[in-house]
Amino acid sequence: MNVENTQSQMRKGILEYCILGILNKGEAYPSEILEKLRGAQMLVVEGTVYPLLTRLKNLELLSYRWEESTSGPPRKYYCITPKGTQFYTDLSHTWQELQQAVSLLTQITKS
Amino acid sequence: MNKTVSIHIQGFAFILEEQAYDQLRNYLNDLASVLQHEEGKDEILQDIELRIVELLQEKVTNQQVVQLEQIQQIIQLLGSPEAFGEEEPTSTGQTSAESTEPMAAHKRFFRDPENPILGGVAGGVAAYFNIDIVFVRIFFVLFTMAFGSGIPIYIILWIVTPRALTASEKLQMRGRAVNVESIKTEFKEATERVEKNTKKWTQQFRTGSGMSERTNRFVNFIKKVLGSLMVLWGLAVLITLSIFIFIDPKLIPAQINGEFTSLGELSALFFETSQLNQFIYLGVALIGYAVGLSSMLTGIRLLFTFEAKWLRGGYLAFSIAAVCGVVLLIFVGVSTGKSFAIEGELSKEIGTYTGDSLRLDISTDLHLNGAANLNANAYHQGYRPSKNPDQGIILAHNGRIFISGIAVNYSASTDTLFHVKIVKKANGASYYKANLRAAHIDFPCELATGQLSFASGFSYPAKDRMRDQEVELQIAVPTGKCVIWNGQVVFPYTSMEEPNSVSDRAYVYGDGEYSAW
Repeated sequence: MNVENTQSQMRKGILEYCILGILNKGEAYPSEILEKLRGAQMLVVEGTVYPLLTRLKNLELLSYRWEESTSGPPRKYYCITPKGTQFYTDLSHTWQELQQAVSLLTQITKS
Repeated sequence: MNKTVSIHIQGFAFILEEQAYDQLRNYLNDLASVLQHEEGKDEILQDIELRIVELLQEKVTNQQVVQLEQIQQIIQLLGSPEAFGEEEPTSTGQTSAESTEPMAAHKRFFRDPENPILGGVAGGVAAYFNIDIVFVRIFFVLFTMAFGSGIPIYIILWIVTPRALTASEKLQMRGRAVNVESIKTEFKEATERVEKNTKKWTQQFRTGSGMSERTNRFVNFIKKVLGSLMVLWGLAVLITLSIFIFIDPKLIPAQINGEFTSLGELSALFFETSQLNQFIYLGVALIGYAVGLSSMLTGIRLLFTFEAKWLRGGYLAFSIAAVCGVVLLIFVGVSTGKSFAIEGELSKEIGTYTGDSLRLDISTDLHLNGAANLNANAYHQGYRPSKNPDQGIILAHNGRIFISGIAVNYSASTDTLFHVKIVKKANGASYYKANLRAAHIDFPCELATGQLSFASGFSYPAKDRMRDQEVELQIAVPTGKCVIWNGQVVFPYTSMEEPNSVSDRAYVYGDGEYSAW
């Protein structure tokens, strides 16, 4: 098991939660989402985001609308659905629990 | 200098370097195959294409050509197809159990592009069943030899299976677990691929591009062999034809004096007018040169794969020439055939004899008209009177054609006298012409004091042409009397040996025995 692989797996696992988090703040199109993820050092490769977005949309956690762009191709603006918001809140709880558990565990091993 | 390809992605036009285009196309194809199992595959691909458009628009300003490096950068940014594929659906309930297995567990049948002879099918089979490729190849060969079925099986597998291009595909090719799901999708995909591949193939065959290098090499090899054969064949036709037309060698053993005659001399004796003779030569030359040259041209084209605008015109000219040749030959054939249509016959009784026995004598003294310097012995050699004499030997000399061999027919006389009759025959377009030819035949023959002296051949003017001229001696023999030749009774037949039962080439020697020539 190599370190790099574990890191990317961890990132990927949390990616879904992050995307929901971004869209929870307001609608965005993929390039914006990518930009934010990249800014937060969360991005492995851009390609992973697209299947994820489609999957979330198919699960009706996200919805989208098309918007023409003056500078390029039409943009697909994603926004979170009520179901998605619910899912996000659940995930947030899980995340907080995990975070606490992990930090607790790692602190213990450290000391 | 590089070739460019103009494409549009999601309605946006770009100009790409050819290599950049190839890479992008392969990338998108790989993505499509990796995402095959994904729900909403088309949507994902659309999103990715839109992203590519965005990235391309960032990188290139208006109408600039997209370079290979730029495509490579974009691909790096988007991630390799494997990165997409490994993103298994985790949130959907019913698939979560399966998704614990990594993608590589789905064993799929791919063609192995790493060590192919033709399409890498054997390599794929070997990887799939985890056996050595050598065994698979042996199986294919055995099947081919046994029922010839190896070839269609191979071709079907070649069309149906995709090539393992990316690392993940190669992994899948050698993966371990096989489940019902993967087999099911494989069948579904196979039908799509057959459809796609047949389309692609027809296009590839038309353009000749895109075939695997090995197939190309094989086709080229066949082309070279065929090309060399055609050039050689064409050359042989041209040389043979030129020799017969321009050199006209004396090859035909038709002369009495042991010399050979040429095709040209012979055909001059055959065709009615020199014009017809020229026509026949022209016709043969047109056909022969057209066939020879077009064969050589095709061979050269196969050998060096060159194309030119004038080629079509060239082939058209050859075809026209050949057709003209055929028309000429038909014309000459018909008009010559007509001159054989009617057979004329002139007969004349030259005398009678009252004695008991008539002696036949082949006279070497009787000179053949205008052939004083002819070797008479050679002319008469081997002749014996028979119903069907050998008529093969001819000679053209001093404007006359000499034919050796005359027929001698015996019959019963109606009275007590020997009757000797000469019949001359020839063919012509009309009775008049046929009889005229028959009348032109010169056949020296004398009947005096119980001896019938005659030449073993006859002659006629060369301008009459060879029109089946024949001479027949009809001898009517009274009962109880006989015909003697060379001291032997030749009629009535003394023994079982009926002369005609012996080969036409049977000749009598001094002791009177038959001997085949």
